[in-house]
Amino acid sequence: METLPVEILEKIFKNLRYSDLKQASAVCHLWYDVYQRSSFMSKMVVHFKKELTLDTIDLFLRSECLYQNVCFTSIPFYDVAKSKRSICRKDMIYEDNRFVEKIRQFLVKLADSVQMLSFCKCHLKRGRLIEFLEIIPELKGLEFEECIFAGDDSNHTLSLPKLKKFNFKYPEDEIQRFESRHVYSNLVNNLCNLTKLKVQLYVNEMFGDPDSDLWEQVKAVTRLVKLHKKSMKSFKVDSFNDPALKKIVFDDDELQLEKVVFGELKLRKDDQVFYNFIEKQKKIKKLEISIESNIDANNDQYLKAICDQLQQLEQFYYDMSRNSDSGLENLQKLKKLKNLVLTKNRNAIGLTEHCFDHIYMPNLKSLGIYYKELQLPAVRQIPISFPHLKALNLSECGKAVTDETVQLIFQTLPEHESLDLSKCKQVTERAFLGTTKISNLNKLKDLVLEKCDGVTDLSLAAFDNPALKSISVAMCTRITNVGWEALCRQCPNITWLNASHCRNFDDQSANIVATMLGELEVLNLFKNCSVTNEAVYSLVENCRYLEDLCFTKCRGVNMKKSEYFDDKMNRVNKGCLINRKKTSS
Amino acid sequence: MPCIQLQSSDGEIFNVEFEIAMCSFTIKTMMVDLDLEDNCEEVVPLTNVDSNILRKILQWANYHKDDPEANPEDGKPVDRRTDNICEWDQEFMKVDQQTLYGLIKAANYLDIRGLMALTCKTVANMMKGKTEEQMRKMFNIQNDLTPEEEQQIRQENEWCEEVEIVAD
Repeated sequence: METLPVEILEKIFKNLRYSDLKQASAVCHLWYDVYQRSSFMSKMVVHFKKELTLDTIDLFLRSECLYQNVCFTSIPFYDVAKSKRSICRKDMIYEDNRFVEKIRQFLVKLADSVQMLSFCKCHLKRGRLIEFLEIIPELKGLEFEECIFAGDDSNHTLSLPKLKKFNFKYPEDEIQRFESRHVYSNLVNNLCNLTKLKVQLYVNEMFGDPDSDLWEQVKAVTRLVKLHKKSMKSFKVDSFNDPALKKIVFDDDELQLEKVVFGELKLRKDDQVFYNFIEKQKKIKKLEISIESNIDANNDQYLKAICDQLQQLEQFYYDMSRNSDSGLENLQKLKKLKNLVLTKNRNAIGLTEHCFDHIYMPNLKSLGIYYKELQLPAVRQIPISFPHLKALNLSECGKAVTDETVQLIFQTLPEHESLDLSKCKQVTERAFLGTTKISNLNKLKDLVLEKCDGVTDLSLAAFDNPALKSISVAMCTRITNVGWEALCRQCPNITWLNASHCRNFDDQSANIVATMLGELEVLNLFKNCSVTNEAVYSLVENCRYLEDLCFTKCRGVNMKKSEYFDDKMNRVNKGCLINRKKTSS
Repeated sequence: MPCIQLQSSDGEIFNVEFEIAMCSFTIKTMMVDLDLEDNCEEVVPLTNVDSNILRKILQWANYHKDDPEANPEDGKPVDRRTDNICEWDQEFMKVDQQTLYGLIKAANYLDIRGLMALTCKTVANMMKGKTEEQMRKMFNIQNDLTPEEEQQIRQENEWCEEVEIVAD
C-alpha cells in the first residue's frame, strides 16, 4: 500500500488528540518525523518532575526531537537535605553537580529550539540560573513559580533580547521570599521588550508596614513595568496597592495595555489617577478588576468611567459589591462586550432585585454571576436583559434558582449551550420535567449540577438531550443506577462525565456508563468507595476514547503494578491510581 | 448552465457545471490565470486524478455545491472535533482504503477544502483510540523503527504533556 505524503499526514494529525498523537509518533520513522517537525511541538511541554533521574535526561540527550517548551518542577538542583539549614548562608550551598551538569547539557542541546522555560518550586543558585539562561539567548517566555534562589549576588546583565513573556509568583515561605526579592527585577533588563507580565505577589497581614517584604516585591514589579512600558500589552497583578506602582501604571502615557488584571485595587474616593488611567487606556479588550474602597463608598462613578471609555472591551470581570442598580446600567454602553462576569465579594448596600431591569445587552454571549443574595426577580430578568446568551453560570445564586427559573431559562434562551447551576440546592426533578418538548434544549452541550442535593434519578430521567456533551453531577449523592441508566440512554453522546463523590456509584454503574457511553473521554470517580477493579476493566474495555479516568481515593480499586502497564491500561491516567496508593499507605 | 470539461489521468472526459468545478481552488485559480472563464471548449487535464476518484469527487461537490464557502485558514484554533460529520458525508466516506487515499490526495492537489477536511477527519477517526500496533495494521505500515528507537520514543513521550502556557 502506498503511503501518504508528509503534508497530508500533517493535516490528518492536526485532527488528533494528544494521546492519539503520542501513539502515532511511534508507528514508523516517517510518522515520527511528521510528529516532531510540525506545529504540534509548540503545544507540547517536556515536564521534568521530582522523579527525574539522570537516566531520563540521558534519554533526552539522545533524542532527535526539538522541544519548544520545557518545565522543571521540584528538580533537585540542590541537595536539599544538606542545604536546608543553610539557605540564608550564601557561602554554604550544596548543589547536586551531576544534575546541574546534565541539565546544562540538555539545555545546550535544545538551545535553538526552546522558547518557553518554566521553573516551579525549584531551588536554584542565582549564578547557575543565569548560566542556564545564557545558554538559550533566543528564549521568548520565562516563568517562575514559588522558586527559591540562593547563592551569590552576581550582578550579571542577562541578555535575552527576544523575551516577550515573564511570569512570576513569590513563594509563601518568608525566608525563601527574602532570598528571591531582587532576582526578578534584576533578571529581566531593558535589553528585551516584554509584552506580557504576570505577577503573583505574596500579601501578608503586615500590609502597610514599610518593613514588610511586600514592598520589596512591589518594587521589583514597578521596576519591570518602568523598563518595559513601551512594549507591554498585558499586565496581570493579583494585588495592587502600592503608590509607586500605581503612579507608573496609571500615569505613564507610554504604557498602552490590552489585557489588564488588577486584583484588590485600592482607590481613594473619586481617585483621579484611576480616571486618568481609564481615559488613556482605550485599547483594553480584557479587564478584570476588583476595586477596594471605603466601606460606605460607592463605585458607580468608577464603573461609569470604565463603561464610557473602554469601548473596545470584550471581556469584563467586575466586583459589583459597591455598586447600585443605576450604576450597573452603565454596562450596556459596552457594545463589544461578549463575556461578563459579575462577582460580589462583600456585603454592601445598593443592588436590589431590580438590578438588571434597565439593562439590555443583545451582544452578550456569556454571563456569570457570583452573588449569593441574588433575588428571584433578577434571575427572571436575565433572558430579557441578555437575550442572546450562550453560556450562563449561576452557581452561587442558589437562593434565586428554583425549578421555575431553570424552566424559564430553558424556554427563553434559545441559543443556550452551557449552564452551570452548581450549589443550587432548590433544583429538583421538576426543573427538567417536560424539557423534552423544548426544542431549544438541543443546543445545550454543557450542564453542571455540582452539589445540587435536589437532583435525583427522576431529574436525570426527565432530562432528555442527545446533544449534551458534558455533565457534572459531582456530590449529587442521591443518584442511583436507575438515574445513571436514564442519563446514558437519553444523552448517549456525553464525552465528559464528573460523578465524583456520588455515594451510590458502584461497579454496576460503571458498567452502565461503560457500555452505554461509547464516546466517553473523561470520567471522574473521585472518592467513590463502592467501585472496584471491575469498574476499571469494564471502562477501559468499552470506552475506546477514554483518556482520563480518575479513581483517586476510591478505596475499592487496587491495581497491581503489572496491570498498569498492560496495553489496555495505556490510555488511562495512571497518575491518579498512583496518587491513591500514596494516600492510603 | 455553462460547463467545463475535465479530463482524468486515464483519459475520460467529464462535463462539469462551472459552479461545481469551482469548489476546487486549483481549477478556479487556473481558470482565472489562463482567462478561460468564457471559453468552455477547452479541456482541462487533471494528470493526478483518475476517473474513479474524479467521479467520486464530482458526486461530493454536487451534493455540497450550496454549502457556504469555507473560510480559508482564518487563524482560528485548530478544530480537533471529528464527530461533526454529516450523515451524507459519513455514507460517502464508506470506501476502501485505496479510494480514501486517492480522495485525500486529489482533494489536496485540487485544493478542495471541505473535502480535505472531511477525508482528514475520517482518517483521524480511524486512528483514534488505537495503539501504534493497531495503527500499523490498519494502514498496512511496516514498522521501520528498531526496538530501541521505539522504546526511546515511548519513554520520551511519557515526560511530555500538552502545554497550557505558550511563549508568545
